[in-house]
Amino acid sequence: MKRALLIVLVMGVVSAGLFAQSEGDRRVVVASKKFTESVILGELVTQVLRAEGTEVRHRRELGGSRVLFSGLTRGDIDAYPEYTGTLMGELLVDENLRTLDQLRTSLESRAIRMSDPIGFNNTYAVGVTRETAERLDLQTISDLADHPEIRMGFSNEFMERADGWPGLRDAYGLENPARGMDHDLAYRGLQSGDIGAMDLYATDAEIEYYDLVVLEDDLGYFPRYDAVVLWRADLEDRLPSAGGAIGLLEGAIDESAMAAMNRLAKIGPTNADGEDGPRVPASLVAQEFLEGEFDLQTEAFVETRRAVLVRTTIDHLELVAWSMAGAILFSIPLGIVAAKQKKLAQPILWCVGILQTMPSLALLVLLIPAFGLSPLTAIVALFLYSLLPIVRNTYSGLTNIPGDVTESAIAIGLTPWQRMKDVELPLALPTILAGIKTAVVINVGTATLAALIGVGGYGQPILTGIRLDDFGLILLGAGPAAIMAIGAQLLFDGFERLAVSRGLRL
Amino acid sequence: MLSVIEATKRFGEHTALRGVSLEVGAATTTALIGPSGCGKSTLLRLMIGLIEPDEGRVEFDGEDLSNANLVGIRRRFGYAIQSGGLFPHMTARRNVEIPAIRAGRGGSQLTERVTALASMVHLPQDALDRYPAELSGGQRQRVALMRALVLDPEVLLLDEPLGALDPLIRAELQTELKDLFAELGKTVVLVTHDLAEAAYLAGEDIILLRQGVIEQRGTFAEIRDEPKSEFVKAFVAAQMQRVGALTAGAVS
Repeated sequence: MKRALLIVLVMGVVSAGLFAQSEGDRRVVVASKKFTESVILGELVTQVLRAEGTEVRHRRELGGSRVLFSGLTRGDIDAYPEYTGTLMGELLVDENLRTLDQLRTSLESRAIRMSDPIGFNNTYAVGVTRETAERLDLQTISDLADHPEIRMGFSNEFMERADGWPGLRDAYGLENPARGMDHDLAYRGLQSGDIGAMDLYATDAEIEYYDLVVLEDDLGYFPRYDAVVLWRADLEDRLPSAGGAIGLLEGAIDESAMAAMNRLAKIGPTNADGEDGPRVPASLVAQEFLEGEFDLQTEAFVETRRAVLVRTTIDHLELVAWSMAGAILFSIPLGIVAAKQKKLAQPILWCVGILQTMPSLALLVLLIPAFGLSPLTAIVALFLYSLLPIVRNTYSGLTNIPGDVTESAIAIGLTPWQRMKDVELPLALPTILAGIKTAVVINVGTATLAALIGVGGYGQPILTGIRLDDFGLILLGAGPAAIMAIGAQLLFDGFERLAVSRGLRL
Repeated sequence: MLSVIEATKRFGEHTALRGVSLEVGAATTTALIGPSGCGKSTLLRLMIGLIEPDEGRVEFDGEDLSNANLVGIRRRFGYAIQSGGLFPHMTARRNVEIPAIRAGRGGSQLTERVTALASMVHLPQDALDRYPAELSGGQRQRVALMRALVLDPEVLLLDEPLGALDPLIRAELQTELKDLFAELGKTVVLVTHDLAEAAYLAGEDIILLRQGVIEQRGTFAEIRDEPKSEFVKAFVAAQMQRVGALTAGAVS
């Protein structure tokens, strides 16, 4: 008992230290979303701020606008690249903002500054092959109305969004057949002629690669997605030149320049023999651009795969260890309460069951207001996901002890505490450990989602791998995660051999 | 020394005991007998506070059983049940020792006591270090008996202590139990469905129950020769053949 208390105490102190350290660490933090263009823009912002002589950390590939915007509002991050369309149509949609000035005023009231547009409008677009464009003389989306035989292949999201295909069809009076398909497959469908037109982002690297023609949105149907940089007003207290440094990027990158950078990072340069690759790391793409455009020498870091593996392993272990320790310490008593208080059993099991059904990104977003874009948010989410198997198994392990054994324990004069310690917990231990093993496997797998809030772990190489379509990178995260899950199981198997009485294994 | 006073116990719709009163004196052996569902096990469980009566009370040594004194009183009782109720994760030795250790009576004397108890119930010493799963049914029952005796209790409560055993082992243990009761001179209350066993082990005081009511209490001879009701008569008749076989040996 005393030992358990001591362990809890030590853990408390250590974790307080852990988070205090990350809290006190007031370097400038730039973040980006989990697609290549955002990572490049984030890297550009990072490097121009770094050129001001301050230490800047780039938290790459966070899981979505909502995560980044709350992180910026809370102060977990200081700056990140965003699109005006996302701000007006999604993040601040309730405010019904119409113009950039209105948007800027609204952000100012949140102590957030916004740069002028960087120069490109990454909106939806409709593209066709050059061959089709020339043969049918297509230049604008209106021209498509004259060719209802052209079949459309759209990404599923675009098919369903009100501002996607349904609106576009009505606005231009199009009667073309359309179906939803995977975006990457649509490029191939376009090449093979299965479809005649597809949706694009205006700065997709593939536009140049496949030599596509972007049809002009002559009715101005699509909202503008001008790239801008957002930063916290208080960043300028710490780094007065921040606004000016970021201002360097205003109007500096047009669609073709951005598409070219996207291509370098996603596909790589084409060499003299017409072969592509290898891909250029986003940090070097940004560095090269800044040097070429502004003659600005900046620092760029490229991590080796080995360094990535070491760093993500440490992050991942930290997330799993703390959340599992917490889950075990919390779930076993909760399972005991459920087993002992019949009235509480169902409510407890329901509650931990409901937690399990929460989509992980939703849970993370819910927790950000409380804990920020910190490891603590991920640890709390993982802790919550680990409760069900342990609580349920503790409960069933205790309630399935044969009645004659429980009665004997009472009849020979053991106190309730002695019965729990000497008889009930040792007998339920194999079941409890089975629950812990289930929980740790779920935990190690789910911890990859921590990358969505930029706190590292094996999810990060997985996200990068998905973004760059790089199977090796995906394996760099998925492989060690599998090994860690197996290792954790073996660890608890070993503990089981030590802790579970031989009498129960006969 | 142990009294049940006007005790009624219901389980949902079913009434297991209807206002039962009885008293058990010191150093006597009493058998509770009757057909399945007559309430004999319920009565025994009431005596050690495993269940509480809905009406009435149980008194031990002049004190009402209550949550405040139950743990203390149980340590003055020994209790063993049909299946043994041994803790499967503990060795036989640990099973026997645990009530004493948790009552604060561990130490070297305990080791001696376990050795003595093992020879008293004829359990081989090497069986003490085996787990219940490694013991035979008879050995498990002997260990359960040792556990019931380890605190040198004033009262021994046994619920079908031999019920799970095959006939040969059962006969052997019956003999041993009888000797043991005589040697220990303790108050014993045992539940059995077998009149022969009751007659053999507790011939002086048999309580016959039917549907939660005491039908007749008396010596074996009284119950056999002066049945108070048709039920007692029928119950005795049904079991007589086996009783004859056993008592013939015992009486002669």
